[in-house]
Amino acid sequence: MSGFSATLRREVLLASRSPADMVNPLFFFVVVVSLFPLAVPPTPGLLEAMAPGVVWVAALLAVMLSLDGLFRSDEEAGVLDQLLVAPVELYFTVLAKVLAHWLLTGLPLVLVAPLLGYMLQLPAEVLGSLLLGLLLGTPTLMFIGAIGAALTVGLRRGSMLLALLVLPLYIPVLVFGAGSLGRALEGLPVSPVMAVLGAMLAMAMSLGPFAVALGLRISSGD
Amino acid sequence: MSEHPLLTVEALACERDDRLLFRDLAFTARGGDIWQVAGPNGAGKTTLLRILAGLFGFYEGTLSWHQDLVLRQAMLYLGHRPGLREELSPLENLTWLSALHGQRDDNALLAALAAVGLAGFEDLPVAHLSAGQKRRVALARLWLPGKPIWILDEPFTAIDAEGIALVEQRLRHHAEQGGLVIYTSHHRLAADTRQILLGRGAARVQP
Amino acid sequence: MSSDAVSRAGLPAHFFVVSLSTGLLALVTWFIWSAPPVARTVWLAGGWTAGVLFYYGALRYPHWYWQTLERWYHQLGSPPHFYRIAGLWLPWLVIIATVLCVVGVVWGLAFAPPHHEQGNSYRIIYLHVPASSAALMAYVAMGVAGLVALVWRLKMAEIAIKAIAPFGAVMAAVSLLSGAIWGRPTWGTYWIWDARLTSMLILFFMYLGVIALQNAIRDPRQAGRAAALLSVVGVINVVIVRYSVDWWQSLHQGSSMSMFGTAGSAIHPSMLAPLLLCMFGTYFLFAVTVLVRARTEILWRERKSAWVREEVA
Repeated sequence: MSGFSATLRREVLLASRSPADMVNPLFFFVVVVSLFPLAVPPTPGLLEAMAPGVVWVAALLAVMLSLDGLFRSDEEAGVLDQLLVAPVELYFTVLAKVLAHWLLTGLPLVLVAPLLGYMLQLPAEVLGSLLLGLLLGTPTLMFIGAIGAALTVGLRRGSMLLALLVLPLYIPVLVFGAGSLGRALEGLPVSPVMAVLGAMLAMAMSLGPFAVALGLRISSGD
Repeated sequence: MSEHPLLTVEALACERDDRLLFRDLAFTARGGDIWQVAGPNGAGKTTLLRILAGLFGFYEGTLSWHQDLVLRQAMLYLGHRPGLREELSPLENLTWLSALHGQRDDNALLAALAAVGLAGFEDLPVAHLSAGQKRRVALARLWLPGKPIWILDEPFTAIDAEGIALVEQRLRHHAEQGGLVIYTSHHRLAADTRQILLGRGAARVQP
Repeated sequence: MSSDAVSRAGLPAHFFVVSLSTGLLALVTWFIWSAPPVARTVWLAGGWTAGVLFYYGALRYPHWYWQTLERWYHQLGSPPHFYRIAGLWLPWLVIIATVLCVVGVVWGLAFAPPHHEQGNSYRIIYLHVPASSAALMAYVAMGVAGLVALVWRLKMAEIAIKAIAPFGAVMAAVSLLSGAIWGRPTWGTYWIWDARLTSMLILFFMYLGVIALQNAIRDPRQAGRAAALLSVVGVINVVIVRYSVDWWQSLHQGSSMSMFGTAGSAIHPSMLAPLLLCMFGTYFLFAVTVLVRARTEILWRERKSAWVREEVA
């Protein structure tokens, strides 16, 4: 397990050396959400009804954009080869990388989201569901997206291709995530939906790294 | 010197980008051997090394390592690029790389960096080092223990004559201890270094 | 002798046969459950009989089974053999596909009775339903081929993925277009966000993803493996998306309109028969298209080998 913790530590160290990369997705998230009140007429209740979709789609896009850099810097530096020939199972190093990436870029999104939700006129009672939903959903999105990132690392214009590959895979999380918030707005219990989101997270976190590791091997030519 | 063949290659052939890189490559590598893979640019040297390291899988023929060997545990692979993150210091880079290989000895890392002449540069971000110094950081792993098989892609690039002599001496030392070295370069270590010559679809093994 | 061979093949082999046949039967049962009762009974009876026979035979004559399976694996897994065998099958498949499709389409468009609610506009189902079903089946086939390509490193499986993807994409597009054309007279709008159409749209994007990934990677072997991984991940997604979109649609009660008016209404046999013909015709069309594309891909990949030069000369 020392490979896992060493990789985790390294990712945090790398992020602390170039904080701009960490902050970009957050800025993107905030800016995109802020655009919507400007783009829609100020009909009462419209913004609140749209808010679940807006917040979730913006978070989803922010996560997806941040994923392009997940393996790119390592691949350019020639570090991916070292990961592939290391005795530590690629599963664990990948798990560490994606977890670290979420902690550094995804968690800030989750923490800022209630503020943005409030800005979109969501009532205070549902902000808790917003937080929980994104807390469960963003890591899932990270792990699923990492598969696409692994397959497109090293490709020219890989980020466009990444979007095409990964967005259909994101739809279940989006549906249940935004749906949970919609239910919360109607006053219905959200725990069943959260359970589904949790199940998706469990599946993505346990099985995803296998696919990501295989994707990295395939991209390196194996 | 060990007599057990560490690596047996038979009828290895590789095609890439619709071009035949090499065909009918066969050789046996033993502990204590130093092998130089030479050839013009684009001849397939890097591809051959990646095949041996297990990074590239589209080849025909057989490649068998000694049965007691777990390749990933026994091999040190240094690729064409230094394999370092510029934001981290040499020590941080090496600490992580060693941790991947289950080694956590800071003193050994410091000693290795000192051996390549980077004592005092351990904590500077790699971005502040020259190309030669970056290459030396990567090569510092040659001074870490525990890896009998060395597969090195262009280890002599970007370093000065003093560095080349240092690395040469290290490679010879490793072979004397029974390790195996397979490297690509235009630079032949000694008259008795075994060679694999690639070029224009053919592969020749000498001697 | 048979028990000898079983013990030689080992307990794992035994479990493999049992689990494979049980799994397939379970899958078929679940899949068929939503079909009309008559079709359901026929399919289940036939499927389970075949399954039991297969299982019995595998236990009784395991040697023959394994030999045959190995022979098929080597033959179908080897591009020159596949090329030859596919070439033998093709003329027959073309004939069957043509007959089924022509008869089905003509019967459905000209001779089937008009629907009691929708009049003649319902006839688009003779295009829409076969296309939808083919698009879905093709992705599942692609996913299975992907699994085979990844686990057994079979080149033929990678070629199969490359062959299936464009066909599936076209079928998905046809399904979407025909669905839109149907929507106009039925719901007054060309597009409606109901579960089926939305799932089909997502499936279409997933096909485009597989095609785009293969085109973006220069080395065809690497492209094949990458597409295989994507297909396997995609198949899992297809199942999850279907349930997600169903759930999502249930949140918005308004647009839960079934294709045939009220949910649960069965199709009249006089309309069902040409539909089944069209569906089977499309499946054979799938087989024909995939075999032709696969053969072309084999010729391209092996273009430097002797047998291809002879073939083309």
